[in-house]
Amino acid sequence: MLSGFRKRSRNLYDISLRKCMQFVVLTARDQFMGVTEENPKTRSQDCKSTTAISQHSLSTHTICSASLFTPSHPSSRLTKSLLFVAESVQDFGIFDDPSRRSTIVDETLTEFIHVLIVAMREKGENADRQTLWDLRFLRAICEDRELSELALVLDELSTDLQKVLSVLVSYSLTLIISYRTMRTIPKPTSKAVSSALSLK
Amino acid sequence: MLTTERFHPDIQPSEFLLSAPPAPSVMSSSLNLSMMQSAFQRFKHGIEQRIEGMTPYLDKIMTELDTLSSALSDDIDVIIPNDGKRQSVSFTFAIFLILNTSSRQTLEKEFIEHAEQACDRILSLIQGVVEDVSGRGDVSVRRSMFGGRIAHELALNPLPGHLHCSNAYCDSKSSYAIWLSDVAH
Repeated sequence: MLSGFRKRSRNLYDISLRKCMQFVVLTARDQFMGVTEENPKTRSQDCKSTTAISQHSLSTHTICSASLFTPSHPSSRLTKSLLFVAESVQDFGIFDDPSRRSTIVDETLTEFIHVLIVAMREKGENADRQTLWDLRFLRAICEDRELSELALVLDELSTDLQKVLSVLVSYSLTLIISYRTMRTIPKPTSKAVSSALSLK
Repeated sequence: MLTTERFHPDIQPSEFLLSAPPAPSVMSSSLNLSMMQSAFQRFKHGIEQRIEGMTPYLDKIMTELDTLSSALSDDIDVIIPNDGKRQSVSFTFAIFLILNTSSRQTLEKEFIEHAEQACDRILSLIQGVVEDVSGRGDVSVRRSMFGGRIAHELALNPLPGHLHCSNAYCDSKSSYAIWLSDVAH
C-alpha cells in the first residue's frame, strides 16, 4: 500500500516508464524483424536473407548469396532498432542522474534482446551470416554493459543458427557444384540427335 | 493544453533538451543594460532548463506549482512557524493575539488536511494521464511518459513540505537515494 506523496509520485513515474519501455522494445523488435505498420505480416524489403531450407519458394541465388555473403558491419535493421531504443531512452527524461539512467538503459536493452530472441525463435529467424554478425554485435554490447547472462542467451541462439547455417552453406556449395557440372556437359552432336530421331 | 503532435518538445524531449538555447541577440543587448541582462537571463534559464531536463510545458507546470505552494506556505508559516523561517515579530504577535492555542491547532489541522487533499488531487490528475490509453499507440505512450516525468519532478519537489503536510505523508524518510537503491536491486 502506497501512502506517501513521494512514494506515489515515484510509483507513477515507474508505471509510465514500464509502459513506455514495453512500447519501445516491441517497436524496436518489429523494426528488426521487418514487420511494418502498413504490412504487419511481412518482412521489409531490405531484408534479403533466407529463413530455412524448407522454404522451396526461395531462389537458389538468394540462398547462396545469403549463406556465403560475408558481412562487415551491423545490418541496417539492427542499427535502426538500436538507434530507436537509444533515442527513446533519452525521451524517458532521466538526464541528471547517470546511475539511474544506466539502470534504465540496462533494463531496456535486456528487455529488447529478450523479446528479440523470443521472436527470432518463434518465427524462425534467418540463418545467415549477417544475422550471426548482428547477434555478435549485440553480444559485444552486453559484454560492455556487463550483462553476462544475456550474453549467454545470445550465444545459445548463435550456436543454433550456426548449425542451420552450416547446412545452408553445404547446400549452397552443392548447388554451385551441380550448376557448374551441368555447364561442362558437352552439347549433343547433330549425329546423336539424328540417331535419336531415327530411333523414333 | 498539451498538444499531442509527434515532435512536441514535451512529448519527445530529447531533441529539445539536446539543442542549444537561442543566444542573446547582440542588437537588443547593445541598446541598454537592463535589456542586456534580461536577454542573458533568458539564455541562462534556457541552459538551466536543459540541464535539469525541463521541457517548456513541464517547466511551466512546476514553476506554477512552486509559486502557488510558496504563497500558501507564506500564509501558513504565520500560524505554524517553520524551522529556520523568521516572521515579522509584530505581525506574528498580532496573530497570536487574535488566535488562541486551540484555534491555531484547529486551523493547522484543517490546513494540513486540505493540503494533503490538494496533493492527492494533483497525483490523481497525473495518474489519469499516465494510465490513459486513448489515442494511437505511440502518442498515448508518450503522453503517459510526460505524466510520468511530472511525477518524477514531484517526487523531488518540496511541495508537500511547503504545505506542512505530515511527515508520514511526505515520505520524509524515503530519500531519493533509497529509491535508487530500490531500483538497482
